[in-house]
Amino acid sequence: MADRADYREGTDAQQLVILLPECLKDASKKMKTGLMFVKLVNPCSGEGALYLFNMCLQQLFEIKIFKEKHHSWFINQSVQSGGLLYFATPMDPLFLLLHYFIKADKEGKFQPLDQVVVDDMFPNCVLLLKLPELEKLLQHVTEEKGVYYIHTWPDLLLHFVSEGFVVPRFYQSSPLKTFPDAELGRKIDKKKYYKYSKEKTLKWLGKKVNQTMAALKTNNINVGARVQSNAFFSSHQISSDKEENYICYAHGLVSDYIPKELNDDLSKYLKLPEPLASLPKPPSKDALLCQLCSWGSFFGCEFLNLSLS
Amino acid sequence: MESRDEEDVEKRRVHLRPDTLRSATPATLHLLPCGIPVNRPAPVGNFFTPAIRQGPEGLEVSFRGRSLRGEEVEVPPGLVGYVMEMEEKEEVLVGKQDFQQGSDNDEHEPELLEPPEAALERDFDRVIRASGSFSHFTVWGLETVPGPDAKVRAALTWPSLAAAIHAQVPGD
Repeated sequence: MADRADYREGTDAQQLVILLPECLKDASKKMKTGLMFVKLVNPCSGEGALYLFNMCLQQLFEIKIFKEKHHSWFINQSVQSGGLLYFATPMDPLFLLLHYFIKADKEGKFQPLDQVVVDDMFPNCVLLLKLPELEKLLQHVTEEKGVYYIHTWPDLLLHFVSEGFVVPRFYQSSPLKTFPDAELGRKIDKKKYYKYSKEKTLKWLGKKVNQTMAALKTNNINVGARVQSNAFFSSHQISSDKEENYICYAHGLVSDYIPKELNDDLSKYLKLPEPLASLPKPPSKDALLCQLCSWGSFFGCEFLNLSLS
Repeated sequence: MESRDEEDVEKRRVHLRPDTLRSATPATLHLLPCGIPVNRPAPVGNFFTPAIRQGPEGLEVSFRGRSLRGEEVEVPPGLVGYVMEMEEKEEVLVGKQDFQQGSDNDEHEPELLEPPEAALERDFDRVIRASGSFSHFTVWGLETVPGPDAKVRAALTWPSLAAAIHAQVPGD
């Protein structure tokens, strides 16, 4: 293979250069399988994106790619075109769950999680349901109802008991009745029903923006560069609006994970100034990193929407 | 296509062999400031590596007669660099990969190429493994050292930002 004359046939050994969190290496001692790349929805664009699941430790990682024009790798004794550098970084699964809840919200009713997270395009979304502490996560973005199924009468007469009152399931004439705790103890199944709450979601996103701002500051990320080069702003504004630059930048980063409509609401919620909010997004993500919109060149597809400066 | 069975879902997964994350041997990586439109073995150790010199501004070498200046870049703390490749079984499927370009509906393609059962066996449980690991690599610039403003350096700050964006927020 190595001395093949016609290099055009040398499509052998596609290699991927990727940075993984160290914890995966440590976790690998305990696992034989359970690490897998899957395609799930990109919660911002609705298109496909690549993720890495650790089923053993129940972790979700997002894959981003660094690509700059005119680069390639030498990897040991080989050449790899493209010069792509992949990153696997921890991903908050709530962004993905939120995508499904917003979609399901059109029906406007409380639904169990497994009826919300359904996707014909990306069937691997069922893996999300295996992540830990989903109920706790969902508190940030949904209203919930705890519903118990109880055998009180013959098996067919299951009742919904929702936070202390009973909704008859099979016959409407049954009177509403409060169950004492002892009765609840006989529950055979407990299911939670959820409904998207925009109010709670905006509050949650506001916290996300705040903690991202803090990280921008501690990492000394230069958030002003984009503004300084912009004719809208005088030098006076650059110094006085430093805090504003941080919040806009942080908002830009978070907005990459939510749909456009929600992003508009978030801008209002954060009271972002109009001119800044309409500026292009922060350079860090536009110019440097792109989410994989398909399986990526390594997985046999072209990149989509790959616009890098 | 309403109801997909488990196998169909499996087809859309690429399994990473965990043990290879520990067995991967150290790899030497150079990020070059030029496109080389092939993926193939190359005698890097014969022509490139021996020519690297330590100059006043950093590392110096030349490639295709152009002068390059380079510097070592560390993988950010908490991360490990890996080189990965698909296992042998998959590497013969170049024809199919071409066919997949620009399409999300890969469940349609096997039927067009060959009998479904063969396609299933081929697609099922694709496996990728780590063949090399690294903790630093060399970034090269054309005639000048890439320096602190290099885009790849900015990209390497992404994991610390991602950690903040995706950290759980405190409850009420």
